[in-house]
Amino acid sequence: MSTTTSPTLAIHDFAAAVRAALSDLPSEDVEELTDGLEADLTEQAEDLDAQSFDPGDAVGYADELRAAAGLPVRGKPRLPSAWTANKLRTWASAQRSNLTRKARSTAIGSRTLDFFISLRPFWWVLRGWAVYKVIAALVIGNSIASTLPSSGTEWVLLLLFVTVSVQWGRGRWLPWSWLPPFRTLVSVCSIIALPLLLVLATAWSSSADQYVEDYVPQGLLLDGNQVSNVFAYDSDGQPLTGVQLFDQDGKPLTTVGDPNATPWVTTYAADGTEVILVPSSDVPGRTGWNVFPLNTVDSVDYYSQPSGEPDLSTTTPAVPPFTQVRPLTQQTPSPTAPPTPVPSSAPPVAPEPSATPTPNSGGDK
Amino acid sequence: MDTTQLLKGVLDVAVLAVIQEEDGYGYDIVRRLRAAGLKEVGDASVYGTLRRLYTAGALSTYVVPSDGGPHRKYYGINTEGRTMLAEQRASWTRFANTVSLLLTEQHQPTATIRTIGDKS
Repeated sequence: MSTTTSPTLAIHDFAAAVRAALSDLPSEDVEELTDGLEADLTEQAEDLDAQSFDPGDAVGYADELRAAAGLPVRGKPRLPSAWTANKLRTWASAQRSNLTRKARSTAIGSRTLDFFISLRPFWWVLRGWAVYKVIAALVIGNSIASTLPSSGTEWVLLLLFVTVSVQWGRGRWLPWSWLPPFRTLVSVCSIIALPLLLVLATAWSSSADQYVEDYVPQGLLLDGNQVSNVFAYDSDGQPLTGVQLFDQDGKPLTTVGDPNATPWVTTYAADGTEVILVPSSDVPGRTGWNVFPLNTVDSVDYYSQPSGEPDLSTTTPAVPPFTQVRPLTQQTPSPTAPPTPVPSSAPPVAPEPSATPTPNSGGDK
Repeated sequence: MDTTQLLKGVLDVAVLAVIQEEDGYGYDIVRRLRAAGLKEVGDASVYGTLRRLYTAGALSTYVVPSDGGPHRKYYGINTEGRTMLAEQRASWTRFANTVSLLLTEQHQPTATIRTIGDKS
């Protein structure tokens, strides 16, 4: 470097040489490192004897710059994996200590941090569960849309992963040096996978709710309420017995879901008394469920019977809600008008269903 | 003793301490460090250190236009930098005290700790 030429020119040359020596770095880094270099050197030259100012070796200067800035040394081939991993580790630990320090600087932050630290065991279990879910889905081909194992083997697997995760969390069971980084990798993957796994598990449980909502009640319904018995009246308003009912497809209309498998049903009257209904005995088998009104049997203390079942041999006719209803007349202006029920004048025999009918209980729901 | 080696370890805290007093641009910091007695400090080391401290989030920068001359990039310390300075100052003090004590003890060996081969 000439000291006899203009210092400005020498500084320009020197700065250019420094930039060239840094050229392997990203241009952004070079810009940041050498921004204002000329101005700094010029000032330095002014401080010293301008004529004797010698900035020295540009390459050495560049090496000093990059070393102080923590940038990789030139010429050394970059090992992306090792370099990046080291850099990442340094960065991560720096971020961690930074965050901890910031959190500890306030009372609330310190307390919040302690709270989260006390939640760490929960995270360890969650991590074990996440690994179990992924392994079970990939290796066993298990459905990912479930929260807990369904078989003993899966339970053993889940407990194994949770145990390992907890031990890792406690800093145990890490005999090889590659295990701590592997633990970090597992943690990162778990953090990424957990939202997905949790959403799927939640989707599973909500689909179960859906299933419950889609459940169709068996038997006969009126506005969503179970109909246990049907009472028919003829055109004169007199109660009918032995009425066989069928739907539009010719299917017997019954109040129970599976007539053949149902010997009797227990229902409750409005006053809470237990009423046992049985199918008509005039039809062979149990297919008399579509013959109305259904008969009742004595429900008293059948639990204490040796059989544990009610005595079905003595049936009594169910008491209708009305002894009679208004007869149909030809003069009725509107033939489709529903019959107005006439309340029973005689008090019905208690305790039987619909023992105290109200005038509108038959026609108005 | 090679003071340039010693300087490497304390350059961060020295730069932070200098900037804490007043914001400054690259050569300004070098000048102040040298004025404080660190004659051997290399300007490139200081510029690199400034860049690294800025990347680490300890410093903030702003550009000040100058009359006639080039714009200068000023560095100022921020909260994070102050925290870093306080920490490094504490650890330096501890370290310096420990080493000072150690070096003093070389002249006045005490009998409290006996090592292998110690005849006393």
